[in-house]
Amino acid sequence: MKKSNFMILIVFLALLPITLYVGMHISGRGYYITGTAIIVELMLPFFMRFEGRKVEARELVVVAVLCALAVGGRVVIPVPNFKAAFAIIIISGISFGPETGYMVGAITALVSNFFYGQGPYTPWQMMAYGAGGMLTGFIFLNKRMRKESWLLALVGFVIVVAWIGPLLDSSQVFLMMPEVNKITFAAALVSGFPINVSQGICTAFILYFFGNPLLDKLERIKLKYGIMEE
Amino acid sequence: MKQYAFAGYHPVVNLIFFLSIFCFSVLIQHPVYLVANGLGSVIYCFMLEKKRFLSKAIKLFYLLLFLTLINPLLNTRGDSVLFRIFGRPYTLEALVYGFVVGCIFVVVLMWLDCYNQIFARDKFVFLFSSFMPTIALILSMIFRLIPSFQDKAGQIAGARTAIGKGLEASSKKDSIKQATIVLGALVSWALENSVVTGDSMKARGYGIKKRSTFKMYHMTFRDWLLIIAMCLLIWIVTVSIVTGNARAEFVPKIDIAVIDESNILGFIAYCVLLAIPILIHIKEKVSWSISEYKI
Repeated sequence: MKKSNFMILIVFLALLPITLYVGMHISGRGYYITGTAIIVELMLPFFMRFEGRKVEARELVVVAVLCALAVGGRVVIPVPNFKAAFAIIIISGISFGPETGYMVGAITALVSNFFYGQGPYTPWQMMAYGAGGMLTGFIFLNKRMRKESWLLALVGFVIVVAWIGPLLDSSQVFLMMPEVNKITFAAALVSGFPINVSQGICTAFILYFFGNPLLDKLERIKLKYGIMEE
Repeated sequence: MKQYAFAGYHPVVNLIFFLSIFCFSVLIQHPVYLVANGLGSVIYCFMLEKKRFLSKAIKLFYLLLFLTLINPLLNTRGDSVLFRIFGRPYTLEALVYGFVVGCIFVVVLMWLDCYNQIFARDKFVFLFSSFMPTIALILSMIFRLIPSFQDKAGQIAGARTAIGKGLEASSKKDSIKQATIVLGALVSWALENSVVTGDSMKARGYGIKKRSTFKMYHMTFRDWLLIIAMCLLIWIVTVSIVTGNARAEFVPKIDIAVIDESNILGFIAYCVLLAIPILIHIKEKVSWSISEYKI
């Protein structure tokens, strides 16, 4: 068996159950640590799979470039709080498939926190961004759907408001709220909703005007140099 | 970036310290432990931040106030009711618990601030490179690409300003549209370049053999010494948590473990653990001023 596959099995069969068992028995606010540990452990298989398969130099650089664009794209746009990161992660997921979408999302979250300061929310951000990239990758497996700008924008909006946003807000429940229950969960989701909507609108805007041209550019690069062809 | 005394140690030493501190900060709700932790974080944060500390502390104080007052609204358990709001009881215990949770959050943020000063990017990449070399390579590539993309974006935007299509357009919608055009040009340029870089890597033999990594940090005697000392302290504190000596419950009744002679060892170990970076910082300052004095 390949080393990476073996490690993935260890994560699921040993690491996760042990974490859950220990997590159930620690008192106080232990659930934050348990939650963070589980999120990190769930990220490990993705990273290990990426390590395990022999990644071509071209693919590696393309992933790095997409992440750097998602992080650095912010300086181009003169409007504060207008982030291009989600749009670029979503487009990477669509163009290069769920797995690369996940990697671009998770690494983007990690790297952008090196510039804006790491926080207790870093693992949650990595998970949420990665999950966003992965989900769009699955939604747009059908190539014909990609042509419709309005569909791109709509899916982008829904993914940010109903998927990435709530995942990010859930970190607040574990971190700041005194207890984990329905009320605190609802409070965190409601307080995060306006920000999620504004981010969703930004993402939809960028995807509507810019999604198809960018996808075409990525397709052209893929076709011209034969990157990441199955 | 400025060099701090504790940052001079091996990344593994820094990582063990911060991981244990984060875990203990979140786990221990005991007020006495919390005061020690708060003092430790404030002193070390002040040492690292100096002038910026005050503005940060004020922001964190408001956050603490907010978290304290909001908790009784969400959590109505507790025996002594202060008053009723929206028909729900506002209890003393929930208020105290909110304060404790707020303190924990603020302390974690303080330590994270120190972490961000101590744990630079190269240390992170170094730790990753030993067990995830590909990810580490991608990370170091991104750190180089971001500034170069920002420069290029500035050039593209400058060229467009010269033909009257600058980013500072009359309306917000226009300026975003211009920005997306700049972003598009940047993406094309970046992707073409990436393929050239990838080919160049391949031509130099990437992927043929196992890649070696540049090692900037080596374990020395003092690193090992500190690791052993920290593991010992962490063990003592963990035992004291598991045996319930640092236990504290706030809702529905306030119930806090008493610290006496039988279990003071755990508390002392916790204080020593918290003081490690502070002591190292002071030691470095003292030895520096002594050598200055000799000149």
